[in-house]
Amino acid sequence: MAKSYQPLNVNTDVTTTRTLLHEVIPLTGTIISGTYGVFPDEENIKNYTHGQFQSVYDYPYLSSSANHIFDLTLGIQSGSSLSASTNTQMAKKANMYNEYAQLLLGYDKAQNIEAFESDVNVADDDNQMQDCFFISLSRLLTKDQIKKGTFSIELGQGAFDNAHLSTITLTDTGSSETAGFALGRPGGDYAVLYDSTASLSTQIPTSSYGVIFYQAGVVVLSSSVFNTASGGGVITDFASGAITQTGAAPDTGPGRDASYMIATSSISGTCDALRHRIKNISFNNSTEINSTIYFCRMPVNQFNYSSNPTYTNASKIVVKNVASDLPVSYVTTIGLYNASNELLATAKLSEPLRKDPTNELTLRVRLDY
Amino acid sequence: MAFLDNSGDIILDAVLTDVGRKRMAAGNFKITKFAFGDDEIDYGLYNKTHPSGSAYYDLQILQTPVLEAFTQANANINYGLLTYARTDLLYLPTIKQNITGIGVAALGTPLYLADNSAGATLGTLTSTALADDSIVATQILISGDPSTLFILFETGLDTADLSPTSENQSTYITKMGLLDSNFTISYDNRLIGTINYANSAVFRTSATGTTCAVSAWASGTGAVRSRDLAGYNTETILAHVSAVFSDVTGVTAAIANAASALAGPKGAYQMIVPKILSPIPDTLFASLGKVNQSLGGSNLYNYIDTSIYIVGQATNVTLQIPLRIIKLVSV
Repeated sequence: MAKSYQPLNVNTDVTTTRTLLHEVIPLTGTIISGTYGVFPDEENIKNYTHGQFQSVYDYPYLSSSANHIFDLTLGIQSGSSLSASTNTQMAKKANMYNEYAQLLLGYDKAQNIEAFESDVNVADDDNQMQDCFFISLSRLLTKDQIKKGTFSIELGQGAFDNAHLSTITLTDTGSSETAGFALGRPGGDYAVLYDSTASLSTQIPTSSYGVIFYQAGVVVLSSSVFNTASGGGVITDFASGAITQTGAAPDTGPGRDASYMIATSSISGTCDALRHRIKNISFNNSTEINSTIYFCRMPVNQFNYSSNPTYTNASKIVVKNVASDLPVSYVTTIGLYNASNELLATAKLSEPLRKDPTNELTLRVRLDY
Repeated sequence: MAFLDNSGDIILDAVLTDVGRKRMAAGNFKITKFAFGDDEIDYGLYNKTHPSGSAYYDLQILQTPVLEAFTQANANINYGLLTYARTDLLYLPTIKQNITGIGVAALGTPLYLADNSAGATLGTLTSTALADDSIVATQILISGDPSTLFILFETGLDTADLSPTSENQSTYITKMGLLDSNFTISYDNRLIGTINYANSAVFRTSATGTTCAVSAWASGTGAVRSRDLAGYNTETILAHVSAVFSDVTGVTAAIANAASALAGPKGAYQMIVPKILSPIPDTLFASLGKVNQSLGGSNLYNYIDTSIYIVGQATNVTLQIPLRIIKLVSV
């Protein structure tokens, strides 16, 4: 319990820093579809009785080792041409669209919920995406936010049985930490996702098929991404007949494109079809670490003795032969205390450090928040 | 011209202790000071006769593996590095319990503290019952009552190199700033209410023998929560300067040392008797200790084992005294 305390001067001994850490997060399509069972009933896919969204895990979700990766759902704006009361789960699809839109975009001047657009100006009401897929990435993966300019998603545009024969990669590479994104929306910063092969002049709006909200970790994809020229035109078998409405007869053939499926199929069934076409998702996450660094100084004339019971033998300091020998001590631990001498944080050295009156040490102790 | 090696830059990542997390949750997390610990170090490994020379004296110490930080109170800093203004100290004081005098408690394992919280009679009965059960009388304190027994402890130099003279006390203790004027005593605040201590006392040797007497007792006031030990309170009490010297007419070093727990120059001393926080409920005996226990005879007791810690304010030396708080249940 015996020790000497040294006060910290907040002006000279304490400083704060901010550091951004980034991790590369690759999500392969094999995890999303087909690895843990037979499509569409994989054990790592969790559907709910409410039927509003589908959760994707990195391992069978009944296992305690499973981590939640993202949720999938879709929505239809009430003003969409696909909106019809006869649609399967139409109310839920409209609710999902509105929930995401009001949370991420907010309201317009008339207090109507904004609509998603495949550009970064929602006020002009052009390029609207009225039937969309939503991918809500887990905070476990995105951490504080997705790093701007690093997101890409590769989607299969082939026939259902060979969906990845041709693919389209949507990226946000036009966005960076300083430019290329919109801000000021309730959902935070967001940018457009466009065909990575598109020329600069045609990226927006011709080749843009969605937006990404960096802090919220939400990707909004227009169903039109499966109706592209690069994919050979409209995909008429977006889903297999087997995964349309439960109990319904196989529903394939011309006109069975993504928009059609969004309107007529269940949310979970349509999400299954989307999972089947996700080949890769990749992004870098960001973790903001705010640190306080305490400069713990050991001046020449301090901390040269120890209260360690082994420091003396019969009251004589064991590291000395005569009084004129220099006292020596070895530090292994640093304790940070409050004014009441309560130990609030502790840091360890990797090896003992010698201290005597001939040397002076400054140990920087970092506390991350 | 080669580049300087800057790989020795030291940045350490700190972890919050349990108290730190609690303070952060409460919104009063504020670090204002630091201290250093060396709990892993065995200074006995310092080899002053290493055949390869002084550069190798601390070779083994520097190879000591250091454990990761852990987070409970006082984590890894039970002992700390000390600052003394002088660099020419060759001796550092120690603290010991004195067991040599009349009325002085023995070094008990444990030392019994009879519960008299329900009245003086209970304490006497408990004490008598313990004696009946063959517990040595000098191991039986009665809570808050110094009339029969008290704990005496001393600080000073426990070395045969130096005679216990007044001159050596002055040279090696007082002038070095190593004479305690106060002690801090920490105790479990669920069990002990205060510390009774000698407010005025004398401890000296003379040609007629050793005098160890208390002329006035006082109770500790101003207890505060311990800064180092969870669930403990700390009280500061005064210290007395020892007058056990060998350079007094008719007194030899052997006589002086026989009266003291220390073999060298004496420093400060104090006498105490802990006083139990009354009343300790039987449920606390059940949860923290044992109930209806026999100590070899037919008497049954409830008891709780605890420790008190005594720290010299100038010397920073620490004494731990194990106590068994005991209450007679049935005869």
